[in-house]
Amino acid sequence: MSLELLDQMLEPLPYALRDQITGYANAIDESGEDIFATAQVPFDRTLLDRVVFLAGVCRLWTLVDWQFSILSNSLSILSSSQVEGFAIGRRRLDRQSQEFVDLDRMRTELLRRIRDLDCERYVALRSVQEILLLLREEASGHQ
Amino acid sequence: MDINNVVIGLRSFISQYHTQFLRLSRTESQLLEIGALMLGVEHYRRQGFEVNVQNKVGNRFKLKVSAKGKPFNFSWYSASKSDVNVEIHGNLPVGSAYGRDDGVYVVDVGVVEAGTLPTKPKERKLWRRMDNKLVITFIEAKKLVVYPMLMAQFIGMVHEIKPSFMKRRFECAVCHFYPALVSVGYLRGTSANIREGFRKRHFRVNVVPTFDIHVSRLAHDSTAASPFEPIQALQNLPARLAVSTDGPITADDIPF
Repeated sequence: MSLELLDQMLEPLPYALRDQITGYANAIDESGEDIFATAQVPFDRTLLDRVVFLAGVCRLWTLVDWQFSILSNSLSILSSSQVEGFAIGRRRLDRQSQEFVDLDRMRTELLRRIRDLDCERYVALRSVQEILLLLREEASGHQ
Repeated sequence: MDINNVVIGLRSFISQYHTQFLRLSRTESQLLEIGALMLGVEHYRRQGFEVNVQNKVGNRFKLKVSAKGKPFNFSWYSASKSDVNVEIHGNLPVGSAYGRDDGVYVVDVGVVEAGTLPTKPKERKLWRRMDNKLVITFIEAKKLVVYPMLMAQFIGMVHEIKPSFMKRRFECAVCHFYPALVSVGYLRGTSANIREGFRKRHFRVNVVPTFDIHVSRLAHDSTAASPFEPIQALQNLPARLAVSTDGPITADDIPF
């Protein structure tokens, strides 16, 4: 179920990126029992569905975030050598370039959307196990 | 959190930024290589090397982002400290260690002895690859989660390009880092155990997951250490003494 919802959500994404996310989500779905065992949580199919879906959301965020992070930080390092940016063929990459500005804006807007959708606390986590444990904690808090 | 709302909300975001996502899918491998290059550069800077950009175009670093082209037509970094002088290149073709197969491997980041690229037009025209003996170390960058087969492939690269790092006894100045696999993903499954196994077998390699976090740390904290081994605590040892980082120095660790 979660994989179908994820497919539906990611449908407008370019294939190469969509494939990365769905492949990742499928791998989590297949190794669900191991993930629960490692986290010492009794297996629960409904909970796994939520874990898989949220792992897909985290992956979408990571795709955008790491590219911005690497570019921005690399430009900072480059500036310590008094160099203002990269030239890649005819492309110019610096903090004023449209590519950088667009990526920055996109990342900010995605984070805002994720926050509005009440998912920010999940994308801040570093592993699938942590997502599982947080979901479980939230579920037990609601009971 | 309502999952149906998340599906609708993020789907509309993806549609709205479709052009941007298309660009991301085209540029992600370039950004990986930029990040790996910066890690290599910062490693040397943090060992006290003087680091400079060479062959700039205007005030920009002309990046080599594919196997095509020759390194002297692009920018690179030089790093110097006392009698150690190296160059750090992106997408560098290097000859195989075996040598008799005429093998050429293009590494994402290559560290080589400085001043060894040809300068005369005729030599430049004939240049095909960096002589393996001039290659000191290298970095491979992946966007993937670090899974066991990726680690095995990387060990294969080290074996073909710089096999001396796989030997119990080897010779390399401690200021250089071991060949490194860096990834924006994390260590998956048994990968952490496999990495530990490399250490126990004295494979001098670095496997660095979530390297984007290290790039961020190095960019914002001038005191942050390089994520690469050999670790900084060993840097006070004589420069030409090669050491294992996972235990006391033994006779086996002393070069020939």
